[in-house]
Amino acid sequence: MTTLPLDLLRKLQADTPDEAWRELFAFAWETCCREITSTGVAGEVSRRDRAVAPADLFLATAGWDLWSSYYHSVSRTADRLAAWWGSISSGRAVLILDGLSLREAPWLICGATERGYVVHSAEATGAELPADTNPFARALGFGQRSALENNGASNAHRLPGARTDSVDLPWRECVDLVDASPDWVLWHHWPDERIHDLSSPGRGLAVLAKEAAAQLTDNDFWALIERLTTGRRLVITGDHGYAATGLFPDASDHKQTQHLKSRFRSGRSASGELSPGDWVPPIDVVLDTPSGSHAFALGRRKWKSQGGYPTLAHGGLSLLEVVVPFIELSRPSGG
Amino acid sequence: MLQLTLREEFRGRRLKGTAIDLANSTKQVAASDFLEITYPSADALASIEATGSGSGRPLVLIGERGQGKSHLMAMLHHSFTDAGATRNWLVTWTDRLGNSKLAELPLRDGMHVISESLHRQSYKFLWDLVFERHPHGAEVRGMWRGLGEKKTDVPSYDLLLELFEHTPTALVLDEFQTWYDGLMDTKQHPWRAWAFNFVQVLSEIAKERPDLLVLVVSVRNGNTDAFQQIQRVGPILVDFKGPTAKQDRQKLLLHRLFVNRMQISDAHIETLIDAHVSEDLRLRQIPSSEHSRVWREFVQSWPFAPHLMQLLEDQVLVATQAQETRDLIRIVADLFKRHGNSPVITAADFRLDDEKSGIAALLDSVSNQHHANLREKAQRNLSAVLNAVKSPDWEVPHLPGIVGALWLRSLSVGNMAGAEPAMLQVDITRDRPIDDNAFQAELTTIVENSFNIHQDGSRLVFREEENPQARLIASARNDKLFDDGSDIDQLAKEVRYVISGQEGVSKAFRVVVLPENWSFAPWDAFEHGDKPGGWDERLPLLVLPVSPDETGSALGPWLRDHLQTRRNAVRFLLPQAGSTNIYQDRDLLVLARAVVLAEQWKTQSPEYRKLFVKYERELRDILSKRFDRFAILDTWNYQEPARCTFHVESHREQGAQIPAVIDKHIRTNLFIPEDFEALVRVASGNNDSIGKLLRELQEPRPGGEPCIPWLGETLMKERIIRLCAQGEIAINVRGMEHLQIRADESEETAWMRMRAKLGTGKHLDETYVLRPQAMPHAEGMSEPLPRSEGGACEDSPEYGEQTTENENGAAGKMSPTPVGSGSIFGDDTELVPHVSGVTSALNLLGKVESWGINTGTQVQDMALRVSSLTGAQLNQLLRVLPDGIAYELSLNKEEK
Repeated sequence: MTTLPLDLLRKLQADTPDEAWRELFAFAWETCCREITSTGVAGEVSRRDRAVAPADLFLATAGWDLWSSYYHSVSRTADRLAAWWGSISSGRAVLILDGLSLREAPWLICGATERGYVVHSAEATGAELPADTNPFARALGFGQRSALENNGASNAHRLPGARTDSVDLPWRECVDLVDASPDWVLWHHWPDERIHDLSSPGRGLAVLAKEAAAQLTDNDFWALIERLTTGRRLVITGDHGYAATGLFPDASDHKQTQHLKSRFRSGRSASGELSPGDWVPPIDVVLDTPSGSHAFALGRRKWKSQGGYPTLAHGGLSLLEVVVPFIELSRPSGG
Repeated sequence: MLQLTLREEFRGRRLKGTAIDLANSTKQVAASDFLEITYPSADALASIEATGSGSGRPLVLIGERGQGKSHLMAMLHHSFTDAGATRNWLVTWTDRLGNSKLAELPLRDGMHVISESLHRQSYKFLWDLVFERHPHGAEVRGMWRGLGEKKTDVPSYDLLLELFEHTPTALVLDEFQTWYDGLMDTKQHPWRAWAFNFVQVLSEIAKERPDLLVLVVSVRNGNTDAFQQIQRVGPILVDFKGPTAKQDRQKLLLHRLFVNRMQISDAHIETLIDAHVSEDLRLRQIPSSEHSRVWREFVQSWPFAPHLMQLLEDQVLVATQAQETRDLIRIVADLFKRHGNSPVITAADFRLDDEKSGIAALLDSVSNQHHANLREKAQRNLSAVLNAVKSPDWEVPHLPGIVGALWLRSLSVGNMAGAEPAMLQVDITRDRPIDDNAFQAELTTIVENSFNIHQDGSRLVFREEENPQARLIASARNDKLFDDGSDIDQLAKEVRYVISGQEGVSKAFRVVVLPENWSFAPWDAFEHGDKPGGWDERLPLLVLPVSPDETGSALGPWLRDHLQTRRNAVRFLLPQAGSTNIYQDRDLLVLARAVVLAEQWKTQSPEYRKLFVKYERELRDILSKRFDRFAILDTWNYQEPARCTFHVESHREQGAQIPAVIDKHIRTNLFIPEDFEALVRVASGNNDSIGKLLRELQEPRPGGEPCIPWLGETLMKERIIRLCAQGEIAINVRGMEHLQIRADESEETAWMRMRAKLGTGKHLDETYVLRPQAMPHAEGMSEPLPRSEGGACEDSPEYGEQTTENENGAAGKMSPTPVGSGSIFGDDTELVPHVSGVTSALNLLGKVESWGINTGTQVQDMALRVSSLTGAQLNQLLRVLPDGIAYELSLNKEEK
């Protein structure tokens, strides 16, 4: 098992929460977002996933109290998006890929560079808590994801003037969906749909990684990017990441297992005025979020549950669940 | 059209002015909103760079009205006041233009900005503006005023330096020239001179201390003194005339007009305009190496066709000193609002009949009387074409487009005015190609019916002056002008002229052109003298306007109903089989109308005289070939006139030759002399008068007998006399003279004697034909001569051949009376020799006459002896010897 680099560990222990979170995000980005050159995509993605595990271990053990400062310390996607939107007067597009984690960022960055796009910025931003779809939608002022369908969003959200849609269509059909409106917000349900489809035992991350590689190098996908970048600057981001829970170890202690199982069942978070478990370091954390008080499963652990614990899940507190890529790009020839 | 959307300010029904007012733009509009509608043209970027930190020269924006000076000044104002928004704007455009230098442009921050449109006249002196708007202004003004007697007319350099040192300032002065040129400059009020000095002070501070003062002014041209003053310190000039100015203006315009032009992908545009561009490449015959360039131009200027933009920029606006970019925006905004659904907007979208199609904006902008006049003319042409064609939707579906495009293309000055037909076809091509032939037909129809379209080389061009030919034809096509039937009359007149020559000059034939209603009321339109009752002896040739399907059934009843006498005398001239009624043939009518109008108008202009000749000739050419057959009555049936039969023959002649040829044809081929002679003989048996005989000949023969064609009174009388000369009949001329061949007389002699004896008119009724035996004769009766076949009408050309034969001595048949006539006892020929001594040719003729040798006398063994003559005289002699006789020649030639 890999460990955290020593200098990083020292920084984490010495720095303020803001800086600690910045270091952690940078570590996750560095680990996951380098170009994938080897042919074994699934193996490489799994390897990177495991390489982030020490940071999760730190956050679940010595640094578990960092989670309480998460909201104030990290650059959250919704805020980042709204600020970016405000900095440009017209010609803006946002592609929200539901459930996009750092694991998929290499294909986006490399694909964009190869195809002549200018990548203005590529960074890691934080999802809303719990790392789920609706909190992110609400953070943007949409109420819920489906509010975006067919330009249904009102103008009260934080991306004013945008034409919006929320679809789960093949990329090619999405191309025709994007009209000539100057500002666009398109929320696509991939890969979240597949995360849930592939969460059964025996499939999980390996299959999803291959599929993601295929999807994100597909010409149809890039045709959509081309359409979105026609006269617009585009941000590709996600509402939340996901955890490859299939790779997580089972909670060893019976009591802990019972606690987790009764509280979270097959999920990663639970809402309500709950109190955390009695263990130190804790196995779950209760945080107040804009969506109300929630208890979160902390770190990389899974437990036996009815029907089997999913091999892919989101909503808990692990880095790859809460960190998403925020990639800003443009196509010069579109101007 | 691909959801291209106009900006909010252009969507209203009435387009507001697009002028940017510096004060409004800076006070009421947020920097980001203002920059959103700003395109980073080369001039804009140069302005930012010139005023950026590190640059130290005043900036002068120089350009005529409407080029965007105020816009740039407002942009500079925002760049000074909101560097963040300006930076964002530059970064955005860095992507769009792919030019990384944009983001790197230095911006100046932290300046106090004083922007003013000086034409508002809010301040009496320029320093009032500076003192009032500068945070430290009041103090410095106080210091200046406090100088007392030392107070200068203009605030001093040092005072101003102190002011700007307190707070560095950007001074943005719009309409600088307008303000300066309007200043009073008298000895008492030398305000312009003061302003001149103050400007000098300002420009020097701006040059020497660029960190304290940024000076930006706008002028229309370099003529003003104020500009000259700034010019001394070497300002940076932005003149809107750089190499990319035109391209920038086009991009600026599209960006200014549309919210989302940038968001429309090139691929979509290419699909949309494929038909138009392909046709453009084909029709303008653009070489394939240029195709990609043309495509690029089209895509870049979409939704407007590049040639439209070119036209508006280079030809229309420049030619009229309009307010360039500002007006261009208004015009194309109107155009787009009206024709936004068109795949591409071309010159054809300027609709003359539609105020909202941009034409009103254009005319407003250029405010040029010539344009307005030309539009009025074009509009009238448009309605002329609509009036002239029967179904405009079918015949000229693109009429408004073509006329609009041609009008717009005709506005430019110089040789480039007007358009090639191919360009017009491109203009009206939208989502599908237009058939070349259909377009040609349509264009021809339009050109023919418009009277202001002129042909200039291969180009068509609208001009204010009328095209006489077009006007003539356009008027000729207007049915409403000819309700009185003058065109029909003219056509009839022309037909008559073509067939008979000048009216009243015709000799032997009376050509009567039957009117349109010939079948039921043929004579209504004729004056009394021209009706059948008033016809003279000339042979009537009736010209039918239409060829009847069945000649007999059509003309038989007509003859019975509409001609009471001389039914056998008329001849019918028929038009080509299957041709339309000449009075309903539109081409002929239009030509006839053109002739009528040109004749009326030829006093106005000599052009119409030429056209009169041209169209008259054209019409006559057609008409002279139109009538190719004639009909003449063969058998008559009064009871059932439809069963009458006619000879219908082709005459193979044209124009004025037709009547004579018909006459000859009838005499040669249809007139049967035996029938005629038999009729005359019958008349002589009845002792009929010749007057009655002639009248009878002019009527059809009853009982279904073939009619004897009437050849005219003179010819008929000649033939009667010829019969008389042959001894077939005798004639009693009014009881005063009996004409009959004498026993000692040849037919020819008798003919010579009798031929002038018959009178005319009433006399003929008193002249009778008789049997020859009825005449007592002192010298006894000669037997009627055996008739040579075909008679002896030597004067009739058709018998010429026969005559020659007789002369040649196929002689036995016509044995002459023996020499020494009077012998009734035998026909032995006695040869009497006659000899003359040597004498002259004239004396010899006298001798021959004295020997009783006349033209009919046969002479045998004639010898003519010449003792001496030259070769020339011999040749002359041989040449005059009659043909057809064999000669013998013997001579002694002198040899030396």
